[in-house]
This record gives sequence, C-alpha cells and structure tokens, in this order.
Amino acid sequence: MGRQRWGGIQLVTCLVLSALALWPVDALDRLLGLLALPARPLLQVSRPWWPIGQVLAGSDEDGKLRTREAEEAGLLEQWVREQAVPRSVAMEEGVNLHAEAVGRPSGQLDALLVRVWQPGLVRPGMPVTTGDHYVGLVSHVVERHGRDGAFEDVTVDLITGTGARIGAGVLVEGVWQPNSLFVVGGLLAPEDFGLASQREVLAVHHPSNYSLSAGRVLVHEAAIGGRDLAGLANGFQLGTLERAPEPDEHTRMDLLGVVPEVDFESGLYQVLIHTGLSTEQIGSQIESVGQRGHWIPAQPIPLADPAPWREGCKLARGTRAGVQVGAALASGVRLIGRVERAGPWHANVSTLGDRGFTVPAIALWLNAEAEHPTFVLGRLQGLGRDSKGNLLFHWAAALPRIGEEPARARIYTGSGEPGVPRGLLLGEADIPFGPGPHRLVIEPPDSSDVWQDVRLFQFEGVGP
Amino acid sequence: MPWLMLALWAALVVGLQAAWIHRWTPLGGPVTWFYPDWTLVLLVAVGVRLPQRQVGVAAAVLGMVRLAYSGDAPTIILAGYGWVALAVQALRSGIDVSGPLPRTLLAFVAAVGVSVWCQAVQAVRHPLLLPDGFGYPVWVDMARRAFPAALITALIVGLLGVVLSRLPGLSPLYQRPRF
Repeated sequence: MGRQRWGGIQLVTCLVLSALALWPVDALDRLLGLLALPARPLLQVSRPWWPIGQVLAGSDEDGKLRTREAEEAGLLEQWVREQAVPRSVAMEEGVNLHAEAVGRPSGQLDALLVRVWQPGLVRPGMPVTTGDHYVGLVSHVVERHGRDGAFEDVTVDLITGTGARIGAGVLVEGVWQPNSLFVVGGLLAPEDFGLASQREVLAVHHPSNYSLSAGRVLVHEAAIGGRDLAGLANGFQLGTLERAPEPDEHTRMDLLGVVPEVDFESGLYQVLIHTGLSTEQIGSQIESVGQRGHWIPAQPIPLADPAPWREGCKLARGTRAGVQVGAALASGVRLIGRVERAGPWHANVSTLGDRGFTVPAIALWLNAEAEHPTFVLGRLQGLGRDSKGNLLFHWAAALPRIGEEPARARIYTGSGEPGVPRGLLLGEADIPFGPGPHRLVIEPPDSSDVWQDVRLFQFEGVGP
Repeated sequence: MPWLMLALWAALVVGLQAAWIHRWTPLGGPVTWFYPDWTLVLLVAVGVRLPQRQVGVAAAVLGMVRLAYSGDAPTIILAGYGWVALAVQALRSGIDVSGPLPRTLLAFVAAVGVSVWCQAVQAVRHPLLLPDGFGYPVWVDMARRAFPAALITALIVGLLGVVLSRLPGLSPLYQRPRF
C-alpha cells in the first residue's frame, strides 16, 4: 500500500472518530470499548501501587461521623415521605399510596415513572399529588418482578403535558371566586409572564370569564362519567393565577396562566396516588416499602487522566457482573460517583468532582427554624472543584428558594433516577435565594480516606 | 512483541502516576494541573524515530493504554491521538523533528491540541461546561487550562525523549522491515 493511500486511510479514520466523538453513538462507543479490552489487563501492571480499593479502618472520629450521617439519612427518608402527605388539604375518603419517582418514560419530560410496592391497586385515571399540590393522572401500570418480589412501575401523565386537562377554580382569601371555573393543562411560554425561562407556566383554557383576579388555583373537577377518579384530587393546589402583561397576539384576549409551586422537570421525588379504595378493599399491604436495590462491594481503580478537570475511577467488572450505567458508587452513605459507561468486563465511574456529573439532590436544613426540614433542589450538574477542593454545581433553581440570605444545608441525593438511591450525602452548602440559575459550592465531608468500604448500587431498571 | 513492550512501559508509568495522584491529591488541587500526559510523551518520543507508517500504530497502542486509565470516551482519545500521529508524519515528511528543540515544540503543540480537543468535546456534550473565557475566545481559555501540563509534557520529551525511546524491548520497533 502506498504512503499516500495509507495516509488517506488514517485521515478518514481520524475524521470518522472525531465525528463520533462529537456526536456519540452509544453502540459504537461500546464496540470501541471492546476493541480496547486488550489494554484492560495492563491496569494490573501497576496494581501493587494502588492505594485504594481496600477496606480500611477509619479513625474513631470518622466512624462517629459516618454513624451520624447514616442516622440522618434514615430520618431524611421519613421526612421526604412526610413531605408527600398534604398539610392543608382535606383528602377524600380512601387509601393513598406512597410512590417514589424512578425516572421518565423514554425521556419524556411530561410524564413521570413512579414505583409502588403494592401491586394490583393502582388503576389508570387515579390522581397523583405531592404535598398540597396536584401533579397529574395515572396513565399506565406495568407489574414487574424483582429480587424482592412484585412491584409496579406506574406512568403518570403530568399536568404539563399538551393533552393533560383538569378542572380548576380560583380561591381568594379562602373563598371560591364566583364564576371562576376553567380548565388547566399544558404549558405556556414563561417569558410572556415576565418570568425566567426556567419557570413553568400552566395554560388556562376556557375560563368562564377573563376578568379573574389573581389567587390560588385549586383542582375543581366535577364527577362526570368515568372521570370521577380525578375528583379525588379536588382541593389540591395547581399554583397561582397570573395574567400576562400583553394580550394573546392571535385572539387579542387576556392571556391567563398558572405558576405552579412544584418543579415538574426535576423536583418530583415522592408522590401520593389517590386510589379511592377503602382499607377493607385492600387488606393489610398498605405500608410495605420495597428495597430500591442492593449494595455490592466494589474495588475502584484509580484514573490517571492528564486532564485535571476529569475525575473518576474504573471498575474491573462490567455488565456481565451486574454493573449498570447510572448506578451509584458510595462509601457508607457518602456518594462517590456514578457509573458513566459500562462494557461487559469494565466500567467507567464519574465522581462528584467530574465536570458534567449530574445528580438529583435535596437539601436538609441545618437551621431548626425552617418550616420544613427539607427542600427539593432538583437536578444538579457538576462544574468541577474550586481551588479548595469544594464541589461546584450548577443549580437551575426552577423553584427558587424564598429568603433574604443564604441558608446552610446538608445536601443529599434525591429521587428520580433508579440508579441513585435517596439519602446519599454530597456535603454541606449555603443555599442561595431568589431566581436561578445559581452556582452551589458544596463542601464535601472531611475524611481521612474517601475510598473506605466502597460499594456499588444494583437496582431494578425501569420500564417493562 | 515490541508493541506489547511499548504498551507495558506506558501502563507502568501511567499506573505509577495514578497511584501518586490517589495517594497525594485524591481531591485534585493546583498540583494536578502539572501532571504530564505520559502516553503522549511516549508517542512523540517514539514517533519521531519510528518508520513513518508505524506512527499510526503507535498512536493506536498508546491510545488504548490511555483508555485503560482515562475517563474520556474511546472515540475522543483515539481521534486525538490519531491527529497527533498524522501531524508527526506530516512534519517528518518535510523536516527533521528528532532533535531536542523540534520534538519539544512538537510535544507541546500536541499536548495542547489533545487537551483542547478533549475539553471541546466535553463542552459540546455538556454545553454548561463552556468556560466563560474571561473576555477571550473560548478556545484560548481551553488552551490556557492545557498550558501547565503541556509544558511539563514537552520538557520531559525534550530532556528524556531519547532515553524513553530506548527503553528495554523497544529497539526492534526502529528496524526497517526487510523484504
């Protein structure tokens, strides 16, 4: 083969590889990962010098700190479940099931996948709420069998969906405004209301009159035909009625919208499904909560990436040993990272300081005067570390914190992704107030050995 | 066999650096900006002496070693090393790059190039990560980040390039094939 032809082949190969790097194709990435397999055993060459991967005994102080963190993570679980229970809404008679967000069906942002551990009770059409707020209606239920028995993955069509509709009315100072009924569903452009683009505004349809005053919008669903299940959500909040400064450019009518107090995109962790069933109908299975997954020991291998903005490790086991993409790697209740890519015999883990690392998070206030012990932050995206080793995260603050000064909180993982169980510690941070986006500076917990007793999470995947 | 020796030497050096990083700087810090890219050091040190058509093979072998220790996707690394191999071959067609100064400059440009390439791909995949540039174009900011490690990488190639290219087991790489 001539030199020019050889050079041409190399050039084309480089161009193809560059294109695949910029626009990645998962299957090809996995294939190339297999081609690199012969290099994996080379990792063992430097094994005698690895300082990590062994179970090391920490100091007494470190042990006490870790015990306290584990206890607090247990309490967090209880508080988050309590946050799903309404405080000021009188619920209709019937049993309500706790369900945990585990993902989005095929990446749809207007639907939510939640998991319940009481199979056979949930039906399409049942309303779903979180706290005092309405979320959507159940659309599909799939029964599945995991290691610990049966459970159900339930698809909830959120009120933000284009086809979602629910009857509503306006409450002003505790009194229903007369002639104020309308239908809510779908989204409007937040810019029309002078809001930041991260906010969501629910659309108002067919208002009985356009001169409605601002007030709290509550679900007001009439029991007609088969939609009577939705009436179980009557009285739950949808948000605050707002009027756009400019009328609709097509109809020249006033543009009305509802600004919700729930972050539908990444802030739904724990919800309540209103079944309308009586306790006699369902028997004794009401409060069982299944395992989200299991922890297995893991031996991380250090990265030696010359790019200091990359941070992570490798695992000398892959999908054939049960490693799943997105799974959490933790030391005690401290989150270390998540599996970024996994081949049959190896896996890449992206750790907290890696730029691009994402995780759903929840803040636990350290100030005891807070109204509620927790605050849902939604998804955080890693921006690396600062010069002191603190973690930097981008926080969209789709639901801004109301306050006048930053408040100290401990940051834990939230829900919404099956690979990351709730209650893993990231560190402490001052949570800023006001509309986002914000940059969060999280101080990781002090530890003599961040690689102590490392475990990998194995979880039940979502979908059928 | 000599290719395996090249891979083994690279794995040993990179593995030692990995152990060092996790022993002394597990949470990063300013020092990590000066860690050299050892696989690139070997690629330039060996590449300026290899028969030209084998530079691409060296890039593939050393790219795979780096894959074993790197967090970046295979396509990113293999493409970056492929471009370095092409650049080495193109330069060698016109000038002698085996001297200390040319190979130092070559290593510096290659290290900055690979680093900027890796950052650019990451920024395309995660647009939030684009640096603000502090008034400069984004690529200048990326090059600024790459500068410390590239400088150390280039100095090692300049000072130790000949020694590294003569590591035990590598000499058969430089023999011209007999027909």
